[in-house]
Amino acid sequence: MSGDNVNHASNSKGISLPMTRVKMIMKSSPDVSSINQEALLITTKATELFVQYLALSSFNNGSGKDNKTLLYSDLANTVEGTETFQFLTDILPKKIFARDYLKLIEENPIEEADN
Amino acid sequence: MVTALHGTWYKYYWAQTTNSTRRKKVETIHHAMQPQVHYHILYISMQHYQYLMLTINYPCFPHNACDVDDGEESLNDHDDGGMKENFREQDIYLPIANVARIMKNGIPQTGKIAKDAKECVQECVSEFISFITSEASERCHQEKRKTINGEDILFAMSTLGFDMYVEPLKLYLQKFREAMKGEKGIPGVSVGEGLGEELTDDSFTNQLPAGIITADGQQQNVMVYTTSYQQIPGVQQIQFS
Repeated sequence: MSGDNVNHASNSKGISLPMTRVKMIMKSSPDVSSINQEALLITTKATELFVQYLALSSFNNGSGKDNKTLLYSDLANTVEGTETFQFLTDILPKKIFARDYLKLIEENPIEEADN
Repeated sequence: MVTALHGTWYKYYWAQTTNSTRRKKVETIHHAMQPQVHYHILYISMQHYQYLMLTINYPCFPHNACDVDDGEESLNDHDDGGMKENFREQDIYLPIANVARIMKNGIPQTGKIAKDAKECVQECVSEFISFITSEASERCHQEKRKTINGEDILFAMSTLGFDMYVEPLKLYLQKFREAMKGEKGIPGVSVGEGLGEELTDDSFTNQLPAGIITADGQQQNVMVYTTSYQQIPGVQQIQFS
């Protein structure tokens, strides 16, 4: 009897994310007391749109065009270059090879910050 | 490039979770790395906070002499950074299979997705949800309301640069309301169902039992997913039995 379950993938509501989990994440924000059903629904749907948007932007932006694979670096580059995604910068920082970084600090001795 | 060496740094280690190896933030350091500590450098971010993500090669890394200053732009300050820090430790994510499926639907059919890309988007999703929710929550508080409603969410989206979603979401909401009207009186649309599937590997069960509509045939204008009984105009057509 779970045919129209809002939590199932691609159901009649057109949602493929578990709303209960979305709700958990929403509630983990400080000062959130309650969330109405429409808010939950809209947030879940918006999350789907967000994922698609992020994936597609990154795919088009990066090396995906050539080897057809969406890589972490594509995501990181997109986040850096898109204002809307700035809130993701500390989740998706760009990578640097260790050897390049070490060379960098060799060439630029680090100054001690003031205590 | 050089500025990356200064500013706020983060030290992370790689932790094994049930599904994957995920980085966990350990501490904020303000100085350069200590030469005698072994770091494996993975990332550096050239954004305004120069984040350096490091891994420690061995499980118990030494607590070195990097004092955590209360520098100007420390994310240990009592600002959003502090909240993010607390949130990350909870690590609540949407299931990766769902996230990956949606990503796949967004890109051309022949495209593939690297595993670490999927995991990162999974984290981005949680960040996105929190981002929208805090903004919506703030508006809600400003207007002295306790329950975040659809309008708050839409407003938050608009404020935070996702205004291109507002119209499609309004449309979606409208269709949903109409569909609910059509299903009035038809049992089976219980939001309590399926909870079991979502909670298998979670321990965050404490919040859920309250506010779930019981399948006792009562048709009430009850707010779903809240712990208090409220009647909010505009939602009264949506009924679950």
